[in-house]
Amino acid sequence: MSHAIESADHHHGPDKGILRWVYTTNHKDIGTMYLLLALSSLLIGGTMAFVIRAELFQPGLQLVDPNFFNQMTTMHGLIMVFGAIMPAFVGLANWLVPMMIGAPDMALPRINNWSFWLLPFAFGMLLCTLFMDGGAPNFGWTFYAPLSTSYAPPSVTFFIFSVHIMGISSIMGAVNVIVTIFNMRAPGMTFMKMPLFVWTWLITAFLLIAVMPVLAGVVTMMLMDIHFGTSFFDAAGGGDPVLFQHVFWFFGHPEVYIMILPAFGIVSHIISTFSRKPLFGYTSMVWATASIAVLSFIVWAHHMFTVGIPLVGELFFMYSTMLIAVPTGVKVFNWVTTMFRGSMTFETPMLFAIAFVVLFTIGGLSGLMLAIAPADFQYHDTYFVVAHFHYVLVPGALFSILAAVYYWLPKWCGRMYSETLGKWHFWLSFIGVNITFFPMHFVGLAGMPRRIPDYALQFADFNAIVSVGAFIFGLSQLIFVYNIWRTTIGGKGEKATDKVWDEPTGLEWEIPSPAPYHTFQEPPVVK
Amino acid sequence: MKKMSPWKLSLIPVFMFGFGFAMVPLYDIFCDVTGLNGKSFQVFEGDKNSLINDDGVQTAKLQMLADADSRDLWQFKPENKTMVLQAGKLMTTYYELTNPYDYPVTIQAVPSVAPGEWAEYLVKIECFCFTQQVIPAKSKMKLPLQVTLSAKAPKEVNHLSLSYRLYQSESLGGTF
Repeated sequence: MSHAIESADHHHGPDKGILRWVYTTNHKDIGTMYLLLALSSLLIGGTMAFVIRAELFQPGLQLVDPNFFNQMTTMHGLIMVFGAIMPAFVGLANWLVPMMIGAPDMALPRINNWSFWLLPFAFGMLLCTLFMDGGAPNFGWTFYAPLSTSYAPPSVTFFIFSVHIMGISSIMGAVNVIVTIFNMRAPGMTFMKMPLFVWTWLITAFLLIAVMPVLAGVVTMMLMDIHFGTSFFDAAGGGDPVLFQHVFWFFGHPEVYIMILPAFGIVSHIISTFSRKPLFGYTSMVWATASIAVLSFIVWAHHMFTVGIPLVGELFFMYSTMLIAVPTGVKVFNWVTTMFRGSMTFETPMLFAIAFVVLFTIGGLSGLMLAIAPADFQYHDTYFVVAHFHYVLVPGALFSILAAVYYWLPKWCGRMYSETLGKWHFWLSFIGVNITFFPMHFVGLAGMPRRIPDYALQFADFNAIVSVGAFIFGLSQLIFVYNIWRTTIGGKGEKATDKVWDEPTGLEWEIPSPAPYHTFQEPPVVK
Repeated sequence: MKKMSPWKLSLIPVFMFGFGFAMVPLYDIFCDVTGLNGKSFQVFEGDKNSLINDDGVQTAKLQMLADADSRDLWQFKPENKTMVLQAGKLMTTYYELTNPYDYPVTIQAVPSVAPGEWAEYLVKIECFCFTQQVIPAKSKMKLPLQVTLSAKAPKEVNHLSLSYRLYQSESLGGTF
């Protein structure tokens, strides 16, 4: 990627060989490593999704036993959330935040190196549990106690340790982003002149440092319950399993916004560039992002409508959840208005960004349906929920990451990706994702529970369709992998200009393509 | 421009880690204050002789439930399924429990009162749930329970349900 070509005027570049990647403190190198880690997690988690969908292709138990099926759903969720989406956004932040604010690097480069290098070990350990006695964690990615304590396989301790490690990594990464944005902006770049990706990441980073420690706390409590004789979640000793759900979702709900706020920033950049108009409503975008972040702390119990919370609680969490639709609606309105009467073209990043707006909105609307407490009693723990969160995470978060990679890749490696392959990738993904997740709404409303390896016969047709869609979607990602490979390592594709696109805005387009190893050693002046 | 210090910023994660643990007592306090979770019944600590002849007029039906395990190995059940509570009048009843194993087992019963808003009007004088109970091997035990209705109970309090879930507390985290 960036290392392939170096400007001649650089007196010191990266080390040679593998140790370059071990020792590097360069934000571009670390960003690349984060993105590659996310890509491998995506492929591993995707393979697990293939196992799940292959088993569910027909009713009955065909391929795997139920316990292994549960391990697959658990690991798929954990790896996609913590291994694919989150590291991909951190990778993008590493690459883009310094270039967008005119800083030479991240504020804490060594911490940055450590944050990254913790992750391969965390995920290595998590994956090792698949080969341990008793198997990998099988209690769902939400690891509710007592399933994850009294009834957990022995490997749960490794799971806890790996969550601790990835939590430390996320917190250090977030501290780094905040300090970089606060201290290293180019002269003249006030907060309200910052690009939206930087703004959304700043708010995301604050969410991360606020809730990742709570996740660390809840797994620590589990660890103590399992090994040290405490009873945080054990009713026999005076604890309460419902407490687990409260603490977990106090982390978990801000976590879902951690996975979507940077996507809002990315899409804002791309839609503005390919509509050839400045973004409509910049200030309202910033405020909407901040309000979503604040609201995310007071809605957690909407995941727990059926545990027996009182009427007042149901109403409070129902209304506060619905309130989130307002700032989110502001954002969707701004994106649509940005496109309105713009000179739009439909390059691959723009296609992904438009698909994001449409499909994320579908996911948002099913979220509103789930927010209605009395209706949620029907939807709870059905495939409707699975459809909802996959709509916001796959054509939501993941599409935005793919869009970002297509959009900034020419800046990173100096070559244009193949537009033809990009279009193939987009259309197959778009069709595949909808065939996969849309019918899940129907089976969910008809009552198919989630996390089951077998199901009643009336769900058979839709499940077969879903599985076919999943294989189309999954395999079409290989086009993406090939496209990236041929553009970067393969060295194919025409050379990118410095601007890459038609008059994009932002400091990252002021530097040469590919971005030199060191950029903005002299801070630019922002007018 | 004033610089943001990463060390100061790190106080937020440290504080939030502590907050995660603080949620444990906060959760209990919240349940106490709001009466949620059906645990805020009163425990009577005065002289219980003072209660016996102190007739009130307010009555409420008390339904008693038991929950040991789904296989019913323990035959854990109340002696009477229902009884009528009268404000200030001491009522004694028993739960029966059989230990099917040929070794003694220590159990802890965890109570819950429904509806949660009225839990505070159930006054317990004596309950086998206050302490752990040792059940000898292969034996049947009668576990005592003494309750009354609080004199403060408003008129609309006409029924209460009291349920117990048994946990085996010898092996940690062990349920049946």
